[in-house]
Amino acid sequence: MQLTGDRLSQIQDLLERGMLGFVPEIILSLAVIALLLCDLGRRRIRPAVPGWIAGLALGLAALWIVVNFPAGTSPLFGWLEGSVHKPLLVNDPFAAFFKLFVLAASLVVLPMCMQSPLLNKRSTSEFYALLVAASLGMLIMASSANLLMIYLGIEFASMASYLAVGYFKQDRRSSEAGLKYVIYGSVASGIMIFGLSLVYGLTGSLALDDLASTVTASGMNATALAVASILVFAGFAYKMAAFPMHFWCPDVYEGAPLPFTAYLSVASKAAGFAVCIRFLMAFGPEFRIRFTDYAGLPDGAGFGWKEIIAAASALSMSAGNLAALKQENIRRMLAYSSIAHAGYLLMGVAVLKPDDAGSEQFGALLFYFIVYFLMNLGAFFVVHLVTVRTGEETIESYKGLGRRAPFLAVALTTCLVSLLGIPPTGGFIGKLHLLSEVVEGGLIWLAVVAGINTAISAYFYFKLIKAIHLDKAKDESFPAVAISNRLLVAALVAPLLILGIFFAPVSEWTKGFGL
Amino acid sequence: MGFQYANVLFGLLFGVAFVILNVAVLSRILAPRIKDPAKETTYECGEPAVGSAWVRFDMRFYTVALVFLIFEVEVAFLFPWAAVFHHFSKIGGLFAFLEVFVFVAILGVGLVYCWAKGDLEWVKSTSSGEAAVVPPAPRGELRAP
Amino acid sequence: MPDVGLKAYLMVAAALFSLGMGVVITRRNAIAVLCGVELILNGAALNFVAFNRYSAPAGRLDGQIFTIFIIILAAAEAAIALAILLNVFSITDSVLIDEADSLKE
Repeated sequence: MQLTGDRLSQIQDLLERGMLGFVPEIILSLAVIALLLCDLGRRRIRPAVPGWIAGLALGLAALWIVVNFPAGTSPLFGWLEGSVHKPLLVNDPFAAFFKLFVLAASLVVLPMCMQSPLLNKRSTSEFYALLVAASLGMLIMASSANLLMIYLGIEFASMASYLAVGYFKQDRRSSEAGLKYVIYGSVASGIMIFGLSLVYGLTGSLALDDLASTVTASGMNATALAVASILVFAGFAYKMAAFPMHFWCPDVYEGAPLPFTAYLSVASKAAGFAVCIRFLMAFGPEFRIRFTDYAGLPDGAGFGWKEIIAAASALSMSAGNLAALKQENIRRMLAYSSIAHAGYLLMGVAVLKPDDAGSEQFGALLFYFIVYFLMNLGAFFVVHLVTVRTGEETIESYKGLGRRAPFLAVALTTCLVSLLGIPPTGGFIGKLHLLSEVVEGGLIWLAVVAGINTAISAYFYFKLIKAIHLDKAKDESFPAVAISNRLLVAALVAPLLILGIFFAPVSEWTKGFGL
Repeated sequence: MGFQYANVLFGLLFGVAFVILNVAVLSRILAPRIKDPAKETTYECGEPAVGSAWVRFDMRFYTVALVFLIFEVEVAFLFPWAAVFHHFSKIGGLFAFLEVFVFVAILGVGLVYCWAKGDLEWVKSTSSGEAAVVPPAPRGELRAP
Repeated sequence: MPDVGLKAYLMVAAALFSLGMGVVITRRNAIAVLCGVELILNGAALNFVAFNRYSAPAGRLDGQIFTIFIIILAAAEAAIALAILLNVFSITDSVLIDEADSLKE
């Protein structure tokens, strides 16, 4: 292929313009390098410095996104086909929402890291570098518009996460968690990449834009495309910790450094959903495998994404909630609860529609994401504060927390009630919105499954709440919690209560971020 | 069409016959047979063979191998860039050059990090700054799987 | 030399994928599992190259570029996995996955 000067200038122009939309990622990349170099100086820097560097970079990136909030869709990088710009990344409100989500989650997790006694035993700037690198990967996941970028983003985020999970090199549990994470992760990404190769072969292009046009084109082998997409979905499900690929989740959540567990349960999951939703929306609503192509089956029978996602959703919530019933370790319990929540969120994905009318569905889903952010990070923050003080993670050790540390107990109870989804918390409103969209979308059976699952999950959430408030503790003492930590917990829990009553502006606001 | 494959078949038959003749027949007739215990041992570059081949290698080999693996493979990114760079040099090419410079610089940071952390040294220094005396690699036998 | 066509490449790639999955599912040794993952990735890489040759629009090298990325990321992933595995090995003296069982419900 001969590159003419004209075309070269075009390519260079695309690259230069792309750099302008890539500023948050560039900030994070520089921060990763700075954090690595931090570790090399002859003099030991103060342990808080890497945390502040990471915080500054994450804050700057978030600020840049807020200030330059994209009004429409602007493509970044990529190539030109005629006059059509095929981007590698896109900057749109949907991407910006998830980017801010990931950055906010890392900013909440930072104070946890800075207080963790285990993390501060040795030089920590490596850990912050991994945290920022994982966020960078998730930013790319949130805005990728090309199969290659999907793969790169997922791998980038995963690789940083593998190392962060196994960060306590002397600790057997952390190392084993890292090993399990990396083995499951590489298998899942292998399956995904094989699926991506088939998608590429069937559509002849890596751009997600081309997917929709080729899918609806005649002569497309829908069955092959369905198989390929299910393989790709395995990779996404791994990041979301949803049904077929959720086995790693409890072990990794238990063994990883606790701040990183909190981070994985929120940011990693959200990034997985972002990339999954973008991929599904690229197929367009018409994508169905019709069994009428095959003899002997009733007319109109068939399945599409809606059915696949709905099945994954129902199985995720059932698997998560049933396994959570017998957990004695609070981290494992929250891990299974997060698998169940992947199911609830997938329920919202199943009824998404990519056109304007779909903004209702997007609103319900993204509202639930905000609520999930608050309640899960709130719960993990309290668990972190308790673990730092008591050194224990069993539900047993939460007995009598209501008398020992009333503030933390109330905060954790609010988060658990919200995770369960009963009023007056944001979790209730979020679930209500989701369920009404699901019923409207025609998946009544899924709503029934979700209802049954909520009832099942009441058992283990209330088991913990009972331990906190009704049971007697062996040891009544509890070291004091600093005012800054109380403020942080309050900042997570108070909006949860406010969203339970005064939700309309936020649920209106989230409708604007659809694809 | 089918006739062309007759050449292949003939060549194959000839080859098989040639090998059988040389290895099984001629060598028995011509080669002298003197038994020697040294002949029975495994050839290890002229060194006397010690122990089984299933020894456990020193961990330090793995660390060096991992570092090598990463840097060697990353360089593969430079080949596609090199293939198109001369096109870009027509319009100045500063941007394309800077991009790859940034890439190599990031690799350089990785190398410096590795170096400063002491992962490239054979005897890795401990955090106290003194060179740790690393015990020789275990030569114990490992069960064959 | 006659062209064997796309189908032959796809069959080899599918065989690599299936062999890789078989290894991943049946082997207990973590290193063997990583070898299986390597097979899966190579199956995918072969797919990309073959599709690029046979069904992509002329002049586009998407599949080839993707393959380079697969090779490089596979190496990076293997390095990370081996580093973590070496660490686990130095603690537990075992590379068998089912002996990594300190995390249990």
